[in-house]
Amino acid sequence: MSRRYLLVKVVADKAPTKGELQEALLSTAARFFGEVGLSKMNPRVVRYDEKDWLAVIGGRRQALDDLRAALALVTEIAGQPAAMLVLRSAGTIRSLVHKHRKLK
Amino acid sequence: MRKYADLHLAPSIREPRDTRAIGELVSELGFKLAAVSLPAQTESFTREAVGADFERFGIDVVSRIDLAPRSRHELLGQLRKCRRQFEVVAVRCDNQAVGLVAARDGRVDLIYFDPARPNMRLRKPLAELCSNALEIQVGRHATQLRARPVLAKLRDEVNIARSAGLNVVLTSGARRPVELRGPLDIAAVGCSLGLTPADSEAAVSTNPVTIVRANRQKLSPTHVELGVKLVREAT
Repeated sequence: MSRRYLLVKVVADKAPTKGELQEALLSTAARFFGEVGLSKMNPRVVRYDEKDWLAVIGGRRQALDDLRAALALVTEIAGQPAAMLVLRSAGTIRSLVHKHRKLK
Repeated sequence: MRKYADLHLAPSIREPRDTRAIGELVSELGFKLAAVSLPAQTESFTREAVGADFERFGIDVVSRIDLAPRSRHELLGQLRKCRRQFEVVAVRCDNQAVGLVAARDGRVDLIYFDPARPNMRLRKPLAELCSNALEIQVGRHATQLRARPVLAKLRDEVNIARSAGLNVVLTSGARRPVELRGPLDIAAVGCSLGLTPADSEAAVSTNPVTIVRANRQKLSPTHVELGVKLVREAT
């Protein structure tokens, strides 16, 4: 199964941890799409830079739209109002980071 | 390349830091056009300052007014006053009488319903009369969108809009940076609400851009009426 990676900017008052990000994403996706939907998209926080508040989130290519919808519906992380905004998407982590650096 | 537009941003004029943060994020997310909604009584210099906060990030800013009248008379009065001052006019339909007038009035661009009120929704007879677009605010109502009754209501509305051939415009409705969402994320939520991928993408690109283009033409000094434009003055 091929995967797709999303570069996500976290907007919140306080920097969340990688575990809190993962928890927020999984609970929102499970609530909106159910466990079957969650298993189809199989989302995972691959990397998280706490300094720049940027995360790389991977998921199955076939369920990319569902993953984006789940990210759009995240409204809080660890009880704090927050958002996860997708900046770019790519097929590999390397090209995602490269694209982002080029545009910076 | 598609031009993405968010036709509903409502930053607070009391929080200039938030306004700047919204402007920067909107540009980072890939939007090229944004409609900023401020209260009707906002001073013109405040309006210009808010616009400048967005323009410095390369965003084409459009002025928007949100009307929430209680009766059809109030709506008609507000439309008479506001239409020529704003590029986008949106009406929140809180009762059937307002919905009926707003749906048919050519001065209205967008109509929307409060998702928390289950009885006030887009119904088939109203959709068939409607000449405007239906707006769904994804960012502002993201928490409510996860609740089953709200989701069911919005899915019904989208379904009715599609069968009546009504355009749908998806916006963030952001008042704070945490309510912002990217164009493709908003479109992905649109797909979950029952729009086709193509319609969903049009709801954040071609549909809002067409509304703004048409209104800018109407507001330009050379506009005479629909289809008639002043090319040059007689000497």
